[in-house]
Amino acid sequence: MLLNKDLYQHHGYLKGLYLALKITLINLLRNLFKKERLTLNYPEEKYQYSDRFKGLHILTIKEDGSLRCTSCMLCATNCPAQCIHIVASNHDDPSVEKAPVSFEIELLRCVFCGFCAEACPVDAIRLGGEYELAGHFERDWIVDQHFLAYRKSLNEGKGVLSVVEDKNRMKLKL
Amino acid sequence: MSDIKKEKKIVTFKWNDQEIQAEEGSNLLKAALDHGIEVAHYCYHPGLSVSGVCRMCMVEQIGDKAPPRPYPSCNATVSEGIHVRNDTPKVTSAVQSTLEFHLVNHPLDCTICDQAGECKLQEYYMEHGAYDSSMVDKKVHKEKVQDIGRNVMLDAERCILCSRCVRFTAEITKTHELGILNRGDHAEITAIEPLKNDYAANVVDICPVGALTSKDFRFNQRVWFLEDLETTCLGCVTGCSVKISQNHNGAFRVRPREDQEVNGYWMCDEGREIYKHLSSLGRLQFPLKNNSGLFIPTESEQFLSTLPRPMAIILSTHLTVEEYEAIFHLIPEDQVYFYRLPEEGPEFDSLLKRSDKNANRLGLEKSYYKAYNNVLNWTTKDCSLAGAKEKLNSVKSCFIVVPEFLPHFIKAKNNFENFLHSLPKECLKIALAYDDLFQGINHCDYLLPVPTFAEKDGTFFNFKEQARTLKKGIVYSQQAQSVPDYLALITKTTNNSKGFSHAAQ
Repeated sequence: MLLNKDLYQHHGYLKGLYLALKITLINLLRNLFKKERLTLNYPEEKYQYSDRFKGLHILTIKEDGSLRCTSCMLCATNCPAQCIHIVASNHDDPSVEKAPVSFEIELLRCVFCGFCAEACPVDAIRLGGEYELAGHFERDWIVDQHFLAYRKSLNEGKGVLSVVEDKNRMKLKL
Repeated sequence: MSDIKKEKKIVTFKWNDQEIQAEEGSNLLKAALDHGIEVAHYCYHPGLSVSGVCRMCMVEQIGDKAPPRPYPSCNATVSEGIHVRNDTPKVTSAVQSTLEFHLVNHPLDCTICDQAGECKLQEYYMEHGAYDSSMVDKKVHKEKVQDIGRNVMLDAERCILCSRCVRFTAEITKTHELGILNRGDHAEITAIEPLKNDYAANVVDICPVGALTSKDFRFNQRVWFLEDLETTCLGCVTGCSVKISQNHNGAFRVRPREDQEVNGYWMCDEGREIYKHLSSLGRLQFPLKNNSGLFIPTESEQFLSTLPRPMAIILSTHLTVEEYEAIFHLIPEDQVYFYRLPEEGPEFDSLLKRSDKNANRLGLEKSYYKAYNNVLNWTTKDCSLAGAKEKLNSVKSCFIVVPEFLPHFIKAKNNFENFLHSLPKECLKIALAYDDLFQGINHCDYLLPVPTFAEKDGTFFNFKEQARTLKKGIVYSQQAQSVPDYLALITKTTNNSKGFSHAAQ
């Protein structure tokens, strides 16, 4: 089926070919003769996304190194993919009271929408910049709090400090 | 005499623009609430006396002889022709200021509070408050995580001093453990001694905020993930109306439902444990065979068709009337036996709890009479007694329906194990159980999964012969079949209408 019968009858197929490949040809020539290129040699060169990029989740920590999360379950409630599973328990310190014993995210289900970070009242979960997510087994993509908070890429395993501390939280005039 | 039996007069009064009919002299707030009008209130509870401390249910009376200022409707009575409004500017500003006062020292830790989602402070703030706090002073901090005995945790900071719990321990249980100490900002609910009554967990239900929370339910689940199943407690013969909060991860708590004929607004602490076996790890998911101590999965139809005769069945007292009728229809009278749980505690503790734990004993007797035209004689049919046990000696295969709630009764647990142990060794024992955690499991040859009381529809009769209904909620054991279904399976496989008794002959 011919999409543009007039064009074919008047100019033959060459004009149509040129029109179809016009942008590709321009980019080909630009890449051949100019220094700055639009493509990357991916595994060797890496693209720097902005800080707002929504990649792999980070669980932030408090000054004492424990998880910032209070397990209020607002992220799990807000999650459209229902991929966050939290088990809460008592904490010995009465000023903390509630803390997660298990915080799991099913990364293969996650749609990286960032609703969890939006829902979090204490800056406990963020979406970080890591985007290289590929692997072999499904089971490797259910990640727990040790990976989410203390993986190597986060300050050499020390974790990322939250902006909300318990002391400050109590001082807030609400 | 006619003066004493004077009937209550029904009068008409007006709440906002709605005309309401109620008994003369009855509570004004209750009359409005009963007619579906939503009125903010913390301290008023229909099961307790009026204290009028929260000042949230204010109304303003319209008319010539009306008092000049708003008054709390919970402390007023219905009379002919009065017109009250709670939407006047005077009342709305009064309610908003009152709510602001309630929140002055409230810590606002909703994120870790179990009450969040069903908290009256949250609800009324969205409805009546929605202001910015005008407080410049620091909040008064009180002790947060206090274990006050039984199943109850107290957070004094979250309390708004409605005094419902204090009135509960003073009026219902009459044990007086709780009180309000100190004055003004420093007033707080205090356990003068640890809670010791058997109804302590009711204070958690009546607490309108998150000050009193249940240790058992603490941090297990957020309430907005839960659905309520309205059913009946099978813990004893009282049969209280309850609701079980559950979702697909399991069941999490039991709370009472209002039912003026049986339990009013309350239930006992023992009854709050009945949800625990619904989704326990031990729930049977498929038929199991005892392979010298190790239970391995098997096919139920395979061995049900080749059972040695004669057979007998030992029923528990917790099945529904419908199940009993179906069972008695399939099985001749001489092969039906029962296992009655021993009585525990005082016969009646003057509130709700009774010693007879055989919840459907009356329904069982009724359907027995209906099926066999014969009054049930417990001395010959109750296997917990010695007389009936001897009759089982000649039986070759025996179905045993494991009583529900067995783990909650200390006496019954050991009794049941002894009973299983006393059955003859050569008899094939098939336990119809909901889980594999009961004692004496090693004496059984087969385990067949059956539904729990929250996984089937049905009826039972409580001690007053009132029909109580059970409702089917979320099913946690997919392969579970009811007891009559298994028995019907035997009839089907042996291709004989009375297959249970005579197929082998």
